[in-house]
Amino acid sequence: MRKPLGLYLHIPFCNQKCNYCTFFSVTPAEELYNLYVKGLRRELKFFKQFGFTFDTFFVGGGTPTSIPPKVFEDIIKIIMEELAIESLKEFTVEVNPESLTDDHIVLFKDLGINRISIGAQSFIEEELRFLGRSHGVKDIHKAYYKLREAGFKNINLDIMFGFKGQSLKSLGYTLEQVIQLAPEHISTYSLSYEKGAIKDLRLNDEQVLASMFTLNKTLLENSGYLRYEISNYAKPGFESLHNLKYWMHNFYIGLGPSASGYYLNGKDLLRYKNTRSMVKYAKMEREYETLSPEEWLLEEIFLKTRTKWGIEVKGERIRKKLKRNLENI
Amino acid sequence: MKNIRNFSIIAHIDHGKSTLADRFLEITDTLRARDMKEQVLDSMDLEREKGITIKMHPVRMRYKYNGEEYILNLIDTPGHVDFSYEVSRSLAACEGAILLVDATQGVEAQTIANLYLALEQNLEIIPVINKIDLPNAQIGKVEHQIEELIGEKPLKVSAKLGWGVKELIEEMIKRVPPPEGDPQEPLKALIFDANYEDYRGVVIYVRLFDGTVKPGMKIMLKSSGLSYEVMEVGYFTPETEKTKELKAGEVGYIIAGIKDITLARVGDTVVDASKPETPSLPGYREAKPMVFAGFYPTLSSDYPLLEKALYKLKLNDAALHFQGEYSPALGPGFRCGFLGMLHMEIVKERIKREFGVEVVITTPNVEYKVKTKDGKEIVVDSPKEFPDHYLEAYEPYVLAEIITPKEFLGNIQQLVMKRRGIQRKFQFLDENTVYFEFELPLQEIIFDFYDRLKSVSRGYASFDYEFLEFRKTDAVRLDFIVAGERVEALSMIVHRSNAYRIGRKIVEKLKREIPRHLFEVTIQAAIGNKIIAKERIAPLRKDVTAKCYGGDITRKRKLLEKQKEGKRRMKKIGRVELPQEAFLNVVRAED
Repeated sequence: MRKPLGLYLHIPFCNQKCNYCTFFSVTPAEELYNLYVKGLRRELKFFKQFGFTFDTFFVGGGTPTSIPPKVFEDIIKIIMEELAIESLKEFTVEVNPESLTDDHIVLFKDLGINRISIGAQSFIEEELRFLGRSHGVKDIHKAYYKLREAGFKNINLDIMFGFKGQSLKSLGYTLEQVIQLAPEHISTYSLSYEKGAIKDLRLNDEQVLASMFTLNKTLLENSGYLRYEISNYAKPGFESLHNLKYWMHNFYIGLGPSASGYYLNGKDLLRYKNTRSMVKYAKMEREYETLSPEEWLLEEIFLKTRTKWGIEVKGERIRKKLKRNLENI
Repeated sequence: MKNIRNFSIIAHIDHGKSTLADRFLEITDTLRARDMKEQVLDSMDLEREKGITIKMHPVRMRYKYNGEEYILNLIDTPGHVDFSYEVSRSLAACEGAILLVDATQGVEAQTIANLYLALEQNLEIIPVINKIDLPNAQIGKVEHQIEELIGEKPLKVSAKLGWGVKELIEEMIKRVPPPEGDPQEPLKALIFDANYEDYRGVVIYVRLFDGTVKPGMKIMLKSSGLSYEVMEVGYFTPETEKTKELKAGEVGYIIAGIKDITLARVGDTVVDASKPETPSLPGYREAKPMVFAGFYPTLSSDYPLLEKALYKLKLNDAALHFQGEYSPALGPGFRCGFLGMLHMEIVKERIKREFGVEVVITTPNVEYKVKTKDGKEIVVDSPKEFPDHYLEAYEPYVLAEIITPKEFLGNIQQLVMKRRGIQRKFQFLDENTVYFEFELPLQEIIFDFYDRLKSVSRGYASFDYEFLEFRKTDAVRLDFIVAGERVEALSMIVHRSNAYRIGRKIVEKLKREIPRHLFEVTIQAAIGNKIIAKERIAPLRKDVTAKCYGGDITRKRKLLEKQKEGKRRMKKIGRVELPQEAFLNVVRAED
């Protein structure tokens, strides 16, 4: 039997755009839900023919909690009807601290979601405001404790570093706060800038950035987290199975506008990316690309070397080829 | 006429001028208690809010004393150095002035500047110490300072509690002489202020020295020679109140269908149009802007709104000058001229409050007179017009007065020397307070001199200045070049001796503010073709710590491939856009 794939669903709705964000999102509205569901049904029909099975499912965005629980439920149920996702090992949903309601939590439990990723980003009010986040520190605590109370045993906190105004001291404070909450998984992403973001908030000092990077590792590893990817830390056994699919060069299907996928189509290694338009998404517009062996190898290198496992090299021919490619990067 | 008293109040910001005026209004029953709000005569919200009075409304009050009724006209002087010409014209309309000094603060530089203006006009000065009710009042000390200044014991009042205010009014009636003049003589009236109203046009505020003015009469403004028919005259109560006529010695307003406020110039003389040879009153000067800066809307789409705002403000502000300009970095905007920095601040604040437009202001500069190589004399108020080579250049100098506790003397002298100042006069006001005068280039103080002064004196020093003359200078245009392109909006005119220091500082700031690119970015400060400071921003390396999730691997791969390609073409210089925020952070708070 073929290896199960990862499944990603992009919920392209946000009440407020964060200053640094370039992910595709629109403001929640009834009409847009309808377009979204229309596109989703088309995609599901398309993928059904492949007979894929899935063992991880990640619902991201956007802000999955920015849409009403009922809409969320309908969307997930539509997917469950069409794709084989009954034996998921990991089912994650991203939440924003301020928009997570009790109804969401009850629903998440009902749907079998077993991992929650909270977009915390910082534990300093001014920094949250600067980033354009619509929540405060209190909201993070509230969301976290509610989820614990509801029995979620695998929680991730997203933390951000390397933005203007942040210092080693303030990052240290944020990390200490995270450690006290003791989530199973912590992502610490350095802020990047891409065209389309509201502002370029990057810290311009490479020395400080490097020290921040080290500070993450020192503080988190001292507290029992293992770094298994450049920016990801987990208590043993809580590595994100879904994200590892990206990093370990495995196959996955992405649903929703702007989502991407990677799968084997006959002999072709296909990557696709969905349109960033809601209207075009309803017509299932997407771009495809077939990977050449060189492209595949380049990916193999830059993805797997992100992880602590690296690349397994079997045989002299591969070794030589790899060496050549590494020199080229 | 013998029962008219025209007077003003000279006071430093916060010394209680508006509060004293409020008591006058109450005591004279000009306003009934229920019409009173605090600081009635402060007309702008901005003034009431900031607690500073830019200019109070004039007001006519009645007061019975020894069985006779007196008319008291209070004409205000704007309380800031930017408006010293307006102050001198307001004082010219009076026969007396109350010198109000805060008992907790003592005499400040600006008070002295205005006091001298009043003495020049031969006004009767009534010194008063205010806020004597406060526990930290230093009545004895301030009394001594005032005696040193004008050789007279001050009255003591608490404007807040009304102590001594009645006595002050009566003292004024006794000491301030009534106006002189003849209602039968040809009309001669001084314009001391003007205001634009939507329906009535320009309302000119006048003090009549001779003659009479009434509706139907034809008047002429001496500076322009333009004639108008008088539609209405009246007094300030403090609202405008119509009357039949205004006579010599009186203070009031004239409405004569003037549409453009720049024609009703402060200091100008109004005469009878049928007697155009009537001489002008002395002291008229055109309101000339001293400080220039670019105003750009933060959002380019706000440009039409900014234009509208400037036109509207100009209706009531003859000293505001502006013309359109375009900057590649900031888009469309305006080159504006102001009387001084406070004037600029007020305009900026009003644009924001009243029109909702946020503006970016480029580094302000003064006006330079330049003799070019081909022998022409030009006036330059914008860095981009400043020539690379010239024969001679002249910049405006001011006479600055500073009063400070003596312990900060050294700090302040140092600061002033750094700003190319020359000390002129030095005097102890009392054993702890020093007064001194400096000659300084205006350019050196328009930026952050006041802030620096406050910080080196822990807020104690006070400061005032007046224009002196144009003096020869060695000025240069300092340019900033980012990735090979000159950023025009950052160019500034500086003294050659400061060029290196300022150039270095701004280059360093730019280095911090400009995002890194895939190629190396050089930042240079230059005078003409000569580079005087340089920094480089190293090219971005691949940010391996950036997140790689959400599955868009294709983009990551393409980015990687592009960077690989980019490395090969490392020498190629790309275009660098200076983000507006970076620009703001660079021009903000020089030094």
